[in-house]
Amino acid sequence: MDDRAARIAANESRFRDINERLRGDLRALPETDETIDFVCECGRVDCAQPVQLTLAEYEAVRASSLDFVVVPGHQSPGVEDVVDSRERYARVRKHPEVAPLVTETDPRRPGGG
Amino acid sequence: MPESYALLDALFAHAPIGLAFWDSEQRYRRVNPALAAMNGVAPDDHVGRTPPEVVGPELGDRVRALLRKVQQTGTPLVDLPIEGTTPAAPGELRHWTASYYPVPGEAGEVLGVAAVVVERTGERQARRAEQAATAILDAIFSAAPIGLAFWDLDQRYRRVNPGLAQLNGVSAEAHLGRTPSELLGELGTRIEELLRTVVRTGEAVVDEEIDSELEGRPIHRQATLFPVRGADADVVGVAGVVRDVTAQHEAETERTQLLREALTARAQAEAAQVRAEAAQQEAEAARRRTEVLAAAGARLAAVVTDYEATLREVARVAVPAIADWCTFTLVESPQRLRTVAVAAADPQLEALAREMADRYPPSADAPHGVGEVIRTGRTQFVREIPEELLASIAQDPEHLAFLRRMGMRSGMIVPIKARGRTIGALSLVAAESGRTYGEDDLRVAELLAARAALSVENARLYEQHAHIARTLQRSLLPPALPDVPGLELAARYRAAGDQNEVGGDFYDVFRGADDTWTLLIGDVAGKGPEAAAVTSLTRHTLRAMTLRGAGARECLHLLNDALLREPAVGGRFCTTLYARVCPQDDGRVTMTLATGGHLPPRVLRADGTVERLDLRGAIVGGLRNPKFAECDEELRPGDVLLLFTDGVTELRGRDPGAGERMLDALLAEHAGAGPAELVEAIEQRVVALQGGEPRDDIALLAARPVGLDSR
Repeated sequence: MDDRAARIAANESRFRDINERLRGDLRALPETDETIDFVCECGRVDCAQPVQLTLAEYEAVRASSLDFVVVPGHQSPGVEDVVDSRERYARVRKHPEVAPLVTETDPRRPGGG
Repeated sequence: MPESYALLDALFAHAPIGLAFWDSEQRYRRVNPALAAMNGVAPDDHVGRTPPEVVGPELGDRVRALLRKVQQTGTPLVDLPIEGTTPAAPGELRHWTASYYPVPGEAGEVLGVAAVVVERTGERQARRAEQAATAILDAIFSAAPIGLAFWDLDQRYRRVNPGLAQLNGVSAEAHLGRTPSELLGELGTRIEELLRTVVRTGEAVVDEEIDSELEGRPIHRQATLFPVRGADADVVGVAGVVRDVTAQHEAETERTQLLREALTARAQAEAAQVRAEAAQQEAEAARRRTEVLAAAGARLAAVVTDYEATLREVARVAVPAIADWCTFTLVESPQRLRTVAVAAADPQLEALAREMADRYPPSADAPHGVGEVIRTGRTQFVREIPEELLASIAQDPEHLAFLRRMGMRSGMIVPIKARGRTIGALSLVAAESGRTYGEDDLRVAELLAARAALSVENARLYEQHAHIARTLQRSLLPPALPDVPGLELAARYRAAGDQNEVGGDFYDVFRGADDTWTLLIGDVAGKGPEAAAVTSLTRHTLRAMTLRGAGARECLHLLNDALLREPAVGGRFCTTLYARVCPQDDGRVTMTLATGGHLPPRVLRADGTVERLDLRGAIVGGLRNPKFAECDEELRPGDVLLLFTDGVTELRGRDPGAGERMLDALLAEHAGAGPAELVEAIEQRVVALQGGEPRDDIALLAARPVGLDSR
């Protein structure tokens, strides 16, 4: 794993943390079926686009520690693969080389976060 | 009669109604306990007193008026409502129903009046409370800002207030007798479900949310329905309180939306902060790489001959900016590699690394590492260095221990290629910094290696060129001045610049056909191989012509023809001072001088006088029919003849005549000095005046008569 891949994975994990905090805060509000502006978990330093998912879609992505959600087209070739592409978002899966890093930093992992 | 009295007494004592008897003077004669309780006065305390005296004038006077009326008419007054206050409850208005009967005597006269009084105060209050409650209920129904309704067991509206009528958009009257579903459709159906629940369970439903649409607009209501029971406790209907919470609901929805937006905005701001930090880190890494390339590039771009020192500087620049370890290895021979530069972030480990590099030089045949890269010309890029790789590189256990101690984590070995050959390798290793190399780092390493290759190759070419120039330069000057009888000679030659090119200045001293000697000095235009060819042609032409007996001026003409005829000269010309000298037995030296555009020589006389031998003549090789001046001169003992090139007199930044004036003054200062001392002094002065770096070649040739006896 080179510095770039590690840096991207680390940043994406930080974005996942932010989204998880957002998800936690949203639990205090009435549930909604509407889309929420989550943070794009891509590795681009110039990304300013929110990624829109319903809470159910978000929860589906969070089911795996290896999966992240990005704006379509914001995936980083070489470090992740798109496993589900939709109009509003793309679900990407990290390559095995960064799996330990993103798994270890997953807040939903037992004892994680 | 006694039985009748007993019955009367019992009646008086226990009757729950008030009984009283007044005499003709309207004084109480008998009162039972019930009436005494109503009046708040003991029964016996009534006897002999009039009503005003017992219950006060207001009530008492009205009673007396009634008694009087019965006494006068002899007619009973029945079920008269009376109200007033008594000492039993001062200030409390009480109600009674009283009947007054005349008590006749034997003669028919009225002896007195008897009264039966029934307390009605509680009943009246109850009736008034009911009336008040009804009024309040009506008021509430009319004015309440909420919806109120009463449904019978058939779920039909029986009572509806204006508030609910407004909520439903239907008049109160239009509700009556209709069911909610008849009136409100889907919304009514939902209400009917709740009504059924209340009737079935006998329990209230509280704050039930009812969402629906009315005239295309979403509405939100909150209803509390409760059973209404009859006298026998059976449920006779359902009452309801209905509130429109649509505005509240919308406000709550808006508030939720605002909160949601605030939370997402905060998340986006946090992400922007993370990305800004990442961008800063990337910029910092890029800046480090750029700085390394710039610093290394500046060192590598310089024209140097000690390229190993340059590579050591470059390695120092790379550490720790982009590497914790950096080495340059060069090919000394096909089978011999040598690590010429080692730099490490840890100074102690760097010393050890140098020692290890000497003890374990990279092998050209090694299957891994530097040897393989140099042999194959292919980069080795190891993102994460495994233990097995260290073991395969190590030459013995001690070497392995050292490699482990380096803490190598990630590494790159890039070939250094020049003109298609791999001449070495650049190794960059990340260790204690914890970094892991990526594609950007590899590109920097490749750029560094390419620049290093160019620098090394240039240095080697430069050295080769300089070697050739030095060799050629030596061939254009006499290896040593000949021993000339009767003359003391001294010469100096100093090439300008980096000595990478052959200069155009020359001097020569050789023997002629007879006992004469020739002193030559000249300056060929330009530098480099072409100038060297002209210099060589000039020297050898003049030597040959001299040996064939040509005179001084004739030699210059012959040289002029030779230069014009030789294509290789390429139009180059030269200036030449030709001096044929002949030492005499008396210590003098006679001279014939000819000049081809050269600077006038000087004679430093023994008495310190400086003479400028002004000769005019065209440059040699420039014209078809040039004119060359020739003159005869004489040197006496103690005199010194000085021939020189323009590198002596062309001083930087000074007026054209300043150099010659400096020379004349310097000569004058050195009156009596010999040739060696003079040329030494002149060179030192000229070099000093030009800041240690003369911009032109300097050639000096000095001769002093010493007498033939000195042989």
